[in-house]
Amino acid sequence: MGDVTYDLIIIGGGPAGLTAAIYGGRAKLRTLVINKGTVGGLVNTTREIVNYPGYGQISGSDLMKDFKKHADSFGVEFSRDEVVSVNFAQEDKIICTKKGKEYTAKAVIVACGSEPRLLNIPGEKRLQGSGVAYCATCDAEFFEGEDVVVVGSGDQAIEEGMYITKFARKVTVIVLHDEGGSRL
Amino acid sequence: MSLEQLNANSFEKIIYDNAESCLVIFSRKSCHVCKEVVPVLEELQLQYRDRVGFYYVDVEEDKNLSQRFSLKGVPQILFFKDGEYQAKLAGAVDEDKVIDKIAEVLES
Repeated sequence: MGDVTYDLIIIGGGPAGLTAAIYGGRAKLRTLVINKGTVGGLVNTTREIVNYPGYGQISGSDLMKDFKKHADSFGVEFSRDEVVSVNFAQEDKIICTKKGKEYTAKAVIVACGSEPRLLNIPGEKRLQGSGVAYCATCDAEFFEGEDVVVVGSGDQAIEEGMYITKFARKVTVIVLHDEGGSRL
Repeated sequence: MSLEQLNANSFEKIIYDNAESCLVIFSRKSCHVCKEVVPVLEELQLQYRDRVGFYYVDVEEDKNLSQRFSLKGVPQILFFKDGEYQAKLAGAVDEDKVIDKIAEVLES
């Protein structure tokens, strides 16, 4: 048996994990969310969300705080930790974490989400923080008056590109696919 | 425990006058990646108490400091030893990377 036993353990604290947690908590299951970073996942990177039902306009991080508050209200527990191994072979699932905890759960939901794909081009890694950036709201200001290239074709690329126009002299978007992946 | 914030004056004193072995994270409040990395350092600093200083610089409040090191992005962790800049880590780094870098440059 592990350190602690839960009815439900959710790996990942993005919108999917938090939604599952709300259902688990509401159903009176002893529920734990294990999340590596800040709760909210990739949505935290969105400055403005204008199409989530019930919210006129909200930032990604505020919306995720509300998701978490909702899960908290149903007694869901959270742990900032990283899952390093799982064993789903028997009825009681075992989850081990980087902080050395071993949890047991009757059910596990894996909602570990996604991370931006890197280009893997020469210099990308070496120049990170010295000209290569992955977050417009974090870094656009450092490119005041400069020429910036945004690589990508999703909504995020277009939105981040638009944000960078407030600072840069010129913004060029390199679209990865013929038609782009954007809904704009 | 939150990281001690440095301004231009305290930066000079701690990094260059005292020549402390330390790391400094350059960050800004609106940066979501920084919000991932700062808690990692807050936890780690307890392990390195009395050996390595852990500090924080807000690039909006102290723009000159980020310009001095030609930083074009946050978060970036700069490592100093004997009053000299040694190395840096940029972006979403995890605990292991920070530990390795400390071992490599500050405790060598």
